[in-house]
Amino acid sequence: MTRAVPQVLLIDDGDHYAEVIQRHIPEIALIQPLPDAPRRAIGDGPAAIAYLSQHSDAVDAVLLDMHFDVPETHLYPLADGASLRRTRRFQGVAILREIRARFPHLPVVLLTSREDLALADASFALAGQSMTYVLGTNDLDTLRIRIHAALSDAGQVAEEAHILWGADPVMRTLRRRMQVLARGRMPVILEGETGTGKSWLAEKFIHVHSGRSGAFVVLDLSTIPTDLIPAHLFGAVKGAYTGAIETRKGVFEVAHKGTLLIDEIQNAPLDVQKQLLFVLQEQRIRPVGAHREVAVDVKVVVASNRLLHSEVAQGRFRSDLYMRLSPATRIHIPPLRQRPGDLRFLAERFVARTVADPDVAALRDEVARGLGMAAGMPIALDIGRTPPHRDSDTGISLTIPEPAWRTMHAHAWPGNIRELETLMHNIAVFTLVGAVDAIRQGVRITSPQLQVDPGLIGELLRATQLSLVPDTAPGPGPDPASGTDTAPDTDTDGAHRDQVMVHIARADTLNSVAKHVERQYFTALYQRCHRDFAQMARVLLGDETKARAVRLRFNQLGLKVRDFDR
Amino acid sequence: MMPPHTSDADDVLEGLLDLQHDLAKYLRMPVAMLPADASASDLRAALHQALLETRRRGTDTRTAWQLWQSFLDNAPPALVSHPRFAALSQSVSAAWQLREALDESRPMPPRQTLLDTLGAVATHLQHLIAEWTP
Repeated sequence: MTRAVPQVLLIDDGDHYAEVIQRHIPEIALIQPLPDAPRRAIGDGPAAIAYLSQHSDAVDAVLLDMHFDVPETHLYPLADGASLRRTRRFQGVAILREIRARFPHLPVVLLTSREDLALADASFALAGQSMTYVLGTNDLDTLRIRIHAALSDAGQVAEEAHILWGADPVMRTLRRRMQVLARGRMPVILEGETGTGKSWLAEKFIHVHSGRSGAFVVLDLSTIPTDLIPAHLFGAVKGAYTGAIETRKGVFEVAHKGTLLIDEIQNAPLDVQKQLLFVLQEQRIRPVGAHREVAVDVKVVVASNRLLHSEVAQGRFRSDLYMRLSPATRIHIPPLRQRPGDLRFLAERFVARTVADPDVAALRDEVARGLGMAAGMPIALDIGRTPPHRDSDTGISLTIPEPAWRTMHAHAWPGNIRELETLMHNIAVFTLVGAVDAIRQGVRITSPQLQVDPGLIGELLRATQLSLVPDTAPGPGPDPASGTDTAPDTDTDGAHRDQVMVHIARADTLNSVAKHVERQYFTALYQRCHRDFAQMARVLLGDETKARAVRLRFNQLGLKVRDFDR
Repeated sequence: MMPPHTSDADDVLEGLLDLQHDLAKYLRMPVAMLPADASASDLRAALHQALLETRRRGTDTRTAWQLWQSFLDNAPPALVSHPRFAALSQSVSAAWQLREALDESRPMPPRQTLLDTLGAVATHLQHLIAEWTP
């Protein structure tokens, strides 16, 4: 959070910027790094890094010059072994790299003149992390706007209106860009691996910030038979095709004056893509079988877990439609593994959300009563052997052992945010059910710090990895044994992944919950392995000769092969 | 006219790039950083800084003309005879000519005129660099 008067550190070997800023941008305060020296700037990279190492909490943003005419010993080298003159000319890039490595959340505005800027040299350091102020025609206004944007980003809350942004600078940039793109009628492309929250962001952020009065409507093209996609999109009149027993509106009409998310757009057949292009250009649709067109005013958001330009290159996506979707401003949501700094924040929030579920809250309250504590307190998440002290006033905590936390950090998170949410949900439920079981059986527990079984975390994470087995089979359908759902997903690499969500009743025991999860897991794996127990044994036990043991467990879980033949 | 690709040519290019920063950027920056509705006295102060305090580091202050002359002292004949060089030289002279406006008895040109004249140095320098780059 920034202060009332934001404190900004200027890194510049000259005095011009300091004078200009002090005179014309009084709404920010330039830091005086050395109390005994009047200069409101710090003159080279190493000195700046040394200062930030001591005082980064007191700095809201950094303004960084590009060219530094300082002695060689005060320069950071450029990565490519550049000449001294070049190193001076692009010293801002080298300093920016150091800042990014050590203070990743600190907003930086890179000050440079258009003539100095060599985007090819700086882009690696600038991408999604800093803003560049380029001397142009309205330099003062531009600089003000850039500084304001950087400070706004720094003050951005990690969570707003059901959206968990986290603190990663990439997410800040993404939020800023989405806020702009939400306005107007230009379509928006959201790309990202499965589970990164594309649909959620479309609904909870883009639609909300669009200012549109109509509804938010979603159509997931991966769930609709190909030949029915036009009717779902554009509507159909009665009798237009076999089974069209009544006239129905398509999602474009339903979303009139609102926002339409077309999810998994890459699944649209080429002829439908042509129709979509027409709709985007003309703002009119023609329902299937109709003779008249209908005008629509819709903000279109398309989402894909594949890179659409690759689909274009492979001839699966029309280039004219792609260009009409404004690819230059497409939003790529980073996978969770590229945001390790947000892992803890997200894990904590997902535990809190899990406990908001009345059934889980009942478990928590039963544990609280067993500990002689008040019901209804939040559950905290602690990491490692020396978590903060907890007592009856601070409530219950789930403590993840340090090695398990490291394992979570090293995990690739192929299911991204959704996978983490599921994991934290399962961790909370399993740990609470374990404690409840113990209390019901008369075991006396005294500490509100419930340790999460590290074996459980490893097991749950491995279950995700199992679904990375190369496969071309379709994803699993409903669990024939339990009727619960596993959600199939297809990622950019074409692999299918499963999410298992535990639904529990108040009277469930740890054993029954565990068995429930295991049954879902076996169901998904059985289909994933083409109903081949030897392949399942290889996946589960690393030894396909143990197919018999796997088959036995399959039966013990109440699963029957014949149920899968129906 | 493309120069021969030699280490000398690289040195010249480096010199041009440094000039871009030391002279062109700071010639324009003080005026460009003023608000659009800056007063004549603000413009005069900025022009003074642009022309007479173009490079100022600590107690070392150099004028735009000194920076230009220093560059000329080391400029090789191949560069000076380049067709683009004359235009650059004229743009520096025109910018330097603006110092007449520092006299308070003279009228101050509008901000945009100052920006166009001072910014022309960067533009011509950019063209020269583009043609000099192997």
